Amino acid sequence: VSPPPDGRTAPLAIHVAARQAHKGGERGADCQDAWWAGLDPPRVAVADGATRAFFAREWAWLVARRFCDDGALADALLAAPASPWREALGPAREAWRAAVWAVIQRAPARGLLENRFHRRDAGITTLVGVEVDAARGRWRAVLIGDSCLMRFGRDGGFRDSVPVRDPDAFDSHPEALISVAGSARETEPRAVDGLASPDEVLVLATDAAARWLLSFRETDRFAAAMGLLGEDDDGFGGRVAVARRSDQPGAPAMEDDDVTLVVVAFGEPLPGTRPLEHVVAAELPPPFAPTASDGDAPSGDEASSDARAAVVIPRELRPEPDGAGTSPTDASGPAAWMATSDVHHPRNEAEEDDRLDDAREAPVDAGESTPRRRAERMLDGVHHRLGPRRVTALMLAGWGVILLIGLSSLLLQRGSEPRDSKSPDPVTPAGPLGAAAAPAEVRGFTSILSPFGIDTHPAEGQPWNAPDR
Amino acid sequence: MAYGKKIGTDNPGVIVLLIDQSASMADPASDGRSKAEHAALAVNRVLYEIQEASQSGASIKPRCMVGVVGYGAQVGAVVSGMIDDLAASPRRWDTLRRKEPDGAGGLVEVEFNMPIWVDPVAANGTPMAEAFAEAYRVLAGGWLPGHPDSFPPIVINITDGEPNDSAAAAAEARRLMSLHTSDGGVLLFNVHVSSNRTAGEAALPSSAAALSDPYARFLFDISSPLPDALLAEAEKVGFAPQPGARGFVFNATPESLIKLLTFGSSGLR
Repeated sequence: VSPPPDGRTAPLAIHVAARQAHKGGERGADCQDAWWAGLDPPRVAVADGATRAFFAREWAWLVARRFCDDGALADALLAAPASPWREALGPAREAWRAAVWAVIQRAPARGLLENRFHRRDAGITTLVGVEVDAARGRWRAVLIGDSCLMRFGRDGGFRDSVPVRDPDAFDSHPEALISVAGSARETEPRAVDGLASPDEVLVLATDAAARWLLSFRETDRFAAAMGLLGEDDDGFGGRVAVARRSDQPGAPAMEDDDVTLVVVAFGEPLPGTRPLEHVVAAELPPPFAPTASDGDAPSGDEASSDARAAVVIPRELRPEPDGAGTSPTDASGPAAWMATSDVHHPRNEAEEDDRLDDAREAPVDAGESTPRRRAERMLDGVHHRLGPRRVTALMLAGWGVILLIGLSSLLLQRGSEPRDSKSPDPVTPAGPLGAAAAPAEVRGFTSILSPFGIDTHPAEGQPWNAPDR
Repeated sequence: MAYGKKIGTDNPGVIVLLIDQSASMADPASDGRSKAEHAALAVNRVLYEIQEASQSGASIKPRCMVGVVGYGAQVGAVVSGMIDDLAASPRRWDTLRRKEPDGAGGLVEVEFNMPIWVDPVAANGTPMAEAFAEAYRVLAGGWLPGHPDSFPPIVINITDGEPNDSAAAAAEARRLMSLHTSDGGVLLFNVHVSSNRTAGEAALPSSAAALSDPYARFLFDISSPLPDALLAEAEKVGFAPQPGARGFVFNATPESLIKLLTFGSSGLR
């Protein structure tokens, strides 16, 4: 082992601060950025999942975490492009694929997800990962995409930024790590290294923050980074919001994107940084939990380390368990009225007779409107809201009620006009400018209004206004 | 800047699709399928694409409210709800087989689950005025008071025929377009689907002068001018809007119908 270049006899202390903020108008669970840190050896990583990609947030967290915790992957990436990094990435890809498939099997909108899964849609993420050899006083880093590694002197002097140095060089399709092998977009990682001296400060930033920092004059960039970082993370979202609005000469407003900023100081701490051991023990966000949407424990190797759940990062800046967005808990705003908003297919059985395809091909599917079908729809909705375990518990009690409702509906239906006996309305051939008008029945659109407590037709009792599930 | 609000989970948008379900929609379009089938296909497709764009992991972000209003024998909501709720509850799933790129330069046939919210319907006349009035009531009474600073609502009317009462329809359309948020007025786009294979299409015209058909001029008059902020989006889907272009396509082919819906919903993606 070579001695440290500065003559030290003890390993360098490493202090770290990590901050994260989501896009304006969105929530913490929507943030596609990720960061992670590990101790043995010291590693930090920042990843930026592509917004429109498939399970990109999960892929970003998985990559960042595995870089820090999986020595084989880190070693391969840090030795790229000469190393077998693609092979080393294989287990991460398999873990992503298995986790995504597990989620899909339990998701309410399964068909949509299956389409994308079978289409081989991929998670896409950038990565900047740093490993520190504290004994030798060196660091090395891997770079994929436009998440940046900046180097500063402790006096604030700007030294370098890789892979992007020009703020105008960022674009919306950076190079990336892809969760599915064989993608044409797959690119070679780039590795760099340097001295980890007490005079060196590293800043890892996703593109919006990196671009914003690089838009300052070189002499002002360090101050801008430390100002954005702040001494605690409670106000980071607010500082980002100010940066997005700011109109400082020579520095355009920060792009409204997810933002992750990690500062690594060697030797003495900088304001806002904490010992790496503390960050790993107490500040890491909850891990990617692919099955947590229904309250189950995370699966696979992503299930460990829950004891290190964040105590410092504000909740809204932490990644929430997957699926958290489906159970809004906000007491106000859209989530509050969404909780009472169901999808409505308000055409009743008689209206079904108007279906063009029914008129041409087959009789109306009587099963569509049976009490059993209504009960199934109701169960689908409950399953969506509560998850399978609670549903199982509720089902035993609920079946009795449902059967009662079903029997009542059957009795009511038998007592009413038999709808199936009504022939479908003939499709009237008419000119392109329309047939003579028949009086139109105008009905309220209360499915949108009802969440606001507005009832446009309180006396009409329209059957299609009742929730379907 | 008008029409500059960003749509997100904390600031959702709204799109209302009005579908003409009059009897003439049973007539075949240029490819032999009925216009009602094309309308249903296009609406199901755009709803699917909005959902896919709103997807984050396993969940659909509640970024917008969608309402589909049918007008023909009746006027009323066919389906409505936040996009994440719609995703979980289509009427049914149809299984299709589609060819997809295999990642190696070829195509592979895969099963595709197509959610169906809207079925083709064709009966009776064209109560367009009542449909506009319904959209007005939804937006003025429910959406806008709760979202005064959101991206302005978008209303897209798919029709093939002259309304029962053109004067009433025009009045209701103007009343609808008078609604606004702090970010701009309600955008009303109209797309006229045609059975005529040889009829010339007029896409996003900037003047009524070239429209010889009185019905085309009527629809031009009740279509919103495209805001500057949306011109680039129109170009992205293949339109070539000129200054002063209106959100209107006359004698639209099935492809143009999908293009207009794609353009109209671009802010929600």
